[in-house]
Amino acid sequence: MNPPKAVCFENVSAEYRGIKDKNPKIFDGLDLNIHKGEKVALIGSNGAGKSTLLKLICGFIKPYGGRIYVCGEEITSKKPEETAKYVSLVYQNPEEMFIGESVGDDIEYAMRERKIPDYKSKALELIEMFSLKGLENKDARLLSGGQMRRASLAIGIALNPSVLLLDEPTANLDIATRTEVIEALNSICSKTETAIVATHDMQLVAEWADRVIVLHEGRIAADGTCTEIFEDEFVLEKVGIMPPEIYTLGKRLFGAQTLNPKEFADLFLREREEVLAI
Amino acid sequence: MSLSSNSSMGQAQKMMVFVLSMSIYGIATLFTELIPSFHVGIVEFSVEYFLFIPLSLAMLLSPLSAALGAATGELVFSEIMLGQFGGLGEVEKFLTVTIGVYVAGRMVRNPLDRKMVGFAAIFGVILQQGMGCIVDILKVVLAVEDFEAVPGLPESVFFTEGFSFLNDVLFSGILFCMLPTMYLVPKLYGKIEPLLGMKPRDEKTAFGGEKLFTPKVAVLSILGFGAAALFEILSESGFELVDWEADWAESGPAYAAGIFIGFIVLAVAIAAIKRNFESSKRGAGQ
Amino acid sequence: MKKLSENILDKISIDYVRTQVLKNAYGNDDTPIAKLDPRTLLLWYLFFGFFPWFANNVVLLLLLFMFAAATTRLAKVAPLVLFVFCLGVFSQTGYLLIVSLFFDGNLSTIIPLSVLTLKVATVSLASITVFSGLDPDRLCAGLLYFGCPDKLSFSIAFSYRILPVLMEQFQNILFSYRLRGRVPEKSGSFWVVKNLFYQIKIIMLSFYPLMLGTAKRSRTTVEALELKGYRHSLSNPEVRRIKLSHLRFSKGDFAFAFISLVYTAGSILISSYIKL
Repeated sequence: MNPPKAVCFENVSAEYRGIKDKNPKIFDGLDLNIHKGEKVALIGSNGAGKSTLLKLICGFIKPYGGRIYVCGEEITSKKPEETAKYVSLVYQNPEEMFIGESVGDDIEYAMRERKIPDYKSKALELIEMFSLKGLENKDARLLSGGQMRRASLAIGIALNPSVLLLDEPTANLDIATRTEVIEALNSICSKTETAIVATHDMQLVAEWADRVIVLHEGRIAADGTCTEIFEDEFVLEKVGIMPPEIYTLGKRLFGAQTLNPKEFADLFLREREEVLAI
Repeated sequence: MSLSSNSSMGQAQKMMVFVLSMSIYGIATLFTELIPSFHVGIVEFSVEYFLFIPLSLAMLLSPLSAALGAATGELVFSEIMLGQFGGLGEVEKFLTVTIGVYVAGRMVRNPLDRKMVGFAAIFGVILQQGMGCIVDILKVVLAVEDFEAVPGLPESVFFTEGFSFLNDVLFSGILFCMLPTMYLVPKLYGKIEPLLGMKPRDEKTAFGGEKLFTPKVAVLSILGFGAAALFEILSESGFELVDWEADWAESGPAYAAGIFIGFIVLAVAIAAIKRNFESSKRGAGQ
Repeated sequence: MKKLSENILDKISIDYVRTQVLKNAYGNDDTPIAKLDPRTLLLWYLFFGFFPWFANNVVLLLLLFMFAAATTRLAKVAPLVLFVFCLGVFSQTGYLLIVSLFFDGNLSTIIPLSVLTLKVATVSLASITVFSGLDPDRLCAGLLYFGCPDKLSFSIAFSYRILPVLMEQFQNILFSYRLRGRVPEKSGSFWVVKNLFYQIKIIMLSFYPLMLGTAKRSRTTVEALELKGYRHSLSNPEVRRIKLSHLRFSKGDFAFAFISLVYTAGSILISSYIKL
């Protein structure tokens, strides 16, 4: 028996308003199930519908056909204020999430509005967790890139959503900041049940996701684990994605599937010992 | 102190304030076109305008740049972009918005003084709406022949204009200009300036100083209003100034011939411009 | 009113505005009007924007109105724009008529008002044709040619570029408020008013982050312009010439001018023989 569904799309169709007369369709009869506890990466080229999918889940945009369920409840025509009970979306641009007067105020905001008891102490916990201490009274726009991103993650999980949606969490970050954000992401995933990330960052996909969904022109082109996707050369070719370097390297050298540098290093050492033993 | 009192602010900073005020107020005016208005009895409630945006910027940053930016923004976003550009008549709106915002911006010496901010905001609105109202009345008075003689028209013009003035000041003015400005200005003070790379205003850099209404400001405002009214009237009632119809009505064909000749002159002018332009291009090419 | 309060936020479907405006600006670049030279259109507007104010003959005004309407149709103007146009015309004169009936107005009030309406309508339609037919770049070039301040053409060009960005940002910020906010509880008789108030409040509040975000952006923009020597270029005639070098009159321009000319002359002839 499958675990309960966190997100369920039934025959969903969505379109966006085009500049020319016809409205281009983004999705036409899309079916999709995401189960509780999954860490899903959505990949695909620009315009494949990744962001639209996230926006549909949190009620930002409404489909013109089909039904969407989140945590067993139909949200197809629900207001975003109501879907927020289950879902939270972290934008690609953190600045658009800063609506309060300071970092601390922003983290508190949702809990205060929704009259959650002890919101002050909960906000302090989040500030601690995302190492934002000492910055809570600053205006969030004046922070560094990585700090802004961490603050946006803290805001995103403040309401303890069952489903967390992240749009390009590692875009435009330098390597150090990226590592920071991935760490923060991992610690988040111990708190929320289900997370869906839309991304172009294959390294992030390889290191973090346990299910990969490839979107291509509004359809699901492939759906599987990281290795399944990275092995499927037809899909990679069609959608125009490249597995991370470390994966390609491991495959070329040893014919093995290495998803991160650690796996590669372990494999490399093993192989070397074998060679030395001979 | 006069216009140059804020010369500590560089040209680049003024340009930033202009761009900021233009784009945000422009977007806001686009919305006001789209938020539907609703009626309770005869009173019409509508989100008339988001003047609080340029008002706040004028009080915090540079009054003149914010005022010009707002007027330009409205012109570009809600007039030109939506294809509603009404020619010379737009000049009236442009000037009244500029004057209203500019005067309100100069009135505030301490952005943290909420009472002063609120007073200045509502004063700016009254100024802008008042000028607009007078111009609107003059417009119909001059555009309709024998205005006084048309039954019911004078009363209805004064009634609708007066009523919409009160409505705009009391409803939109308080709800959408005064209150948001009072809320925003102290909140933005000290926060928006670093983002633009400038220092917050203080007693020393305040505009206008003690002499709030220097003769220069007053004279400029009056001149501006005069020009606004003139443009509006010109655009609406040229036939009153140049009595075309009387002369031409009797001889339609002559009239037509005149227009025909006018067009030919226009065509020749275009051709001349074209030739001139192409030769100048060749000149540039050599 | 109940319906209104429930979905103001959906009404300002920013998506809708954005596409309508963009449609208006860039969407109809394949219409006959859009192929004309901007200078032709501006000169044409100069005539159709002013001439109706000077004419008091109802037949002539009617004919001019029909011509302006035909060009608007040729320009394939977006529906929203036409709707706003109708609203604008009504608010200027129709409202006046209704109110004047309360002040002893009678049928004779209608004639001067309908002349006024026709004038307003013709001039507005002419401007819709011209300014929808021209995409912003061509409009700028045309305005620059006739000596408009460069700051205006810069503002127009910049506004079109920044509009989609700002709209999206505004939409996202508004959505941030909604995702983190709470709708007033659906109980009590004042729920409708409370809900309306909530919606307007978050729209207003959204401008606070937008202002801060845009402040940051406009600084970047202006600094980039400074680096490129934008302010210096304003006073350089060579720059102006390069900017305008792509303008060309074509056969279409002359045909359009000729048709307008013949039509106007014909209308004047007709109107001088028909007496109403």
